[in-house]
Amino acid sequence: MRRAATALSVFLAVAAAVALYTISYDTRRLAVRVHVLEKTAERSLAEISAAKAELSHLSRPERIEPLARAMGLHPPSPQQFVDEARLPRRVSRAQ
Amino acid sequence: MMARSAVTAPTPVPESRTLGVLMCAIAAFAVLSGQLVWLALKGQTMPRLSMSEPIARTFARPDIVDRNGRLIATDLEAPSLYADPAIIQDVDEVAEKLGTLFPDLDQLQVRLLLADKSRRFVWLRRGLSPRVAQRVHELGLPGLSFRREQKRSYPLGRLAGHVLGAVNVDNRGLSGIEKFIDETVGVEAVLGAKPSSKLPIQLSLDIGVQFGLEVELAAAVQRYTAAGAAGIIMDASNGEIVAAASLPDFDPAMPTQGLEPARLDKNQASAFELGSIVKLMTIAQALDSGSATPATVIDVRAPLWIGRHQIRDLHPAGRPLSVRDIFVQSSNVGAARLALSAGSDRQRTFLTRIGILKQGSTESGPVAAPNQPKHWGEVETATISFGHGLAISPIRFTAAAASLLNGGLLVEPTVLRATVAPRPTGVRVVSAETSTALTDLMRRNVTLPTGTGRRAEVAGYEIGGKTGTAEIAVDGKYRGDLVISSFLAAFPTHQPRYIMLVLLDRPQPSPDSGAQITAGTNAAPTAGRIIARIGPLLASPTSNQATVFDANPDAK
Repeated sequence: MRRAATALSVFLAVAAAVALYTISYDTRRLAVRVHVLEKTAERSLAEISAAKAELSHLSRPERIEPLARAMGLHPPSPQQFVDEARLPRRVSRAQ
Repeated sequence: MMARSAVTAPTPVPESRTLGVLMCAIAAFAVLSGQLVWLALKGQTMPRLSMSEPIARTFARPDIVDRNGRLIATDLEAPSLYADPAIIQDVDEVAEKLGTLFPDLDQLQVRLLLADKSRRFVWLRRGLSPRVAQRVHELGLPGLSFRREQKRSYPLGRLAGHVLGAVNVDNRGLSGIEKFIDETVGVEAVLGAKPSSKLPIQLSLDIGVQFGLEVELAAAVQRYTAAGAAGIIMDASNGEIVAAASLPDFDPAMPTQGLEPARLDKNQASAFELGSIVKLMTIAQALDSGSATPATVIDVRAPLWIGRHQIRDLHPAGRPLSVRDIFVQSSNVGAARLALSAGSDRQRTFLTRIGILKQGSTESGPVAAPNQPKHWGEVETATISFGHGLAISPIRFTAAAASLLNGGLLVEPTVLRATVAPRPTGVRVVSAETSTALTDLMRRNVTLPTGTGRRAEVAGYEIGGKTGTAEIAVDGKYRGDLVISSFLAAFPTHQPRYIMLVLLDRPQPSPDSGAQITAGTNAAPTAGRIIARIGPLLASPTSNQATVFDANPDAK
């Protein structure tokens, strides 16, 4: 009986130790993973903001304007606008 | 414990148990040794750097975007070069080699910094471009290293520089909106290149409009050989500044430029005698108090004498003029008579009410205080009625004009979008009728052949305006050849949505202005060009709708 109890407690002690080590290692591994993910996220954010800045830089009016003019575009003139009420109605035309 | 049990109960220990315990112990030691070997093989790849916070701290700033969400300013990661003097072997070599890459490096100071072996961290150059950082790396000097930091960058370059302001080397705001961010929204102290977690700051500026304004102003500076120019476009309903430019401009990436007097923000940091555009206020006061109507006739035939001072018109009408004509033909005598009939106190009260005499600031910095006369007597009342003797910052003037023309509700100038800043006070400064009458006068001044603002007309946008040519006082005397020429515009006049002020600093006679320097010949056409350019971005044209779509076959 005593032997069984001893064996059981030794077994429990070893099991607990193993479990403890496993958890502790897992925690450390996870902590490393969290750190890596955090760094990745930070990197990605930095890259996104760099990409945004680049987009803004490339689409700045100073650069777009000559390109647009070279393509034959120009600011719309008042003649190109028309009041909605003055547009002919499709329905009446179909009749 | 075993020894004790051996004394009290000398039972023999079975051999198998001893063996078992021994095996367990060996196994445990084997695991430990294995772990040691594994750790030794894995090695330490990441060198750790520890430094005290005050040295390496920078600030992460929120982005700045325009009213349509387009990016104006952001933080970018940039390597910064530092040295660890304790590791540096040859100070002279380091200083000389760095000198080849950075010619402006202060050699003596670098040598002094690096010679102090007790220090472990010295900044050498911050916010490098990746290419330069690579070159430093290639020098292969021990003791030099990089840290990644946040560095403010302005992808649109100099655009809206005066509004934006600048930051210092630690990424803290020094002026403009950047300073406002530090003071209100707050910046986050970070180690390394950690982006800000704060939401972007949305300005009321529209990048497209801002660009149009800056380009046209720059063209006007060239065309009329002016020393500078300024322009503000304001949403009349809530005081939001849609565009604000001051030339010579200011590059937010070069903060030291802000110290040059010529680059001072003319819109906000300077006050000018604005000339005849102030007649709008004089007539507003007369109309709103009920002492005159647009049809009231005033005798302006003779110059007006106040003591020793004479007030006369540039082009005397030679006949009595109605208030309407006083505005359109810009009669100084008429404006002075209107102001004098109300008196100095009422004039000052009215100007205070519409915010012209107010001090204070906008989000982009303090507004220059109005330069008021020490003694506000009859002469001053008369000259102030047509814009002399009282210097006003253009931004205050524009806000006051917006308050008069938007239906009569006071607005405060702001460069933030409505979602961030509080909005109109709802304080009525003039009646809606007065406001409509003023708008009508503004429109007449552009459409009538006698109007001084006729060269601002652009078909389709219903522009109303007032010209102002103010002589500049040099050593206490007004010089006829040096003027601030300005144009106040409102459009569309059936319900003014935008108020614009254009100001040219000391324009010269040019072929384009018919060899004149009056505002009608330079500021007015400039205003017209600006509106023709930015109009489509702000509002669809209202009138002059051509009969393009009337070609309906059924209607024939």
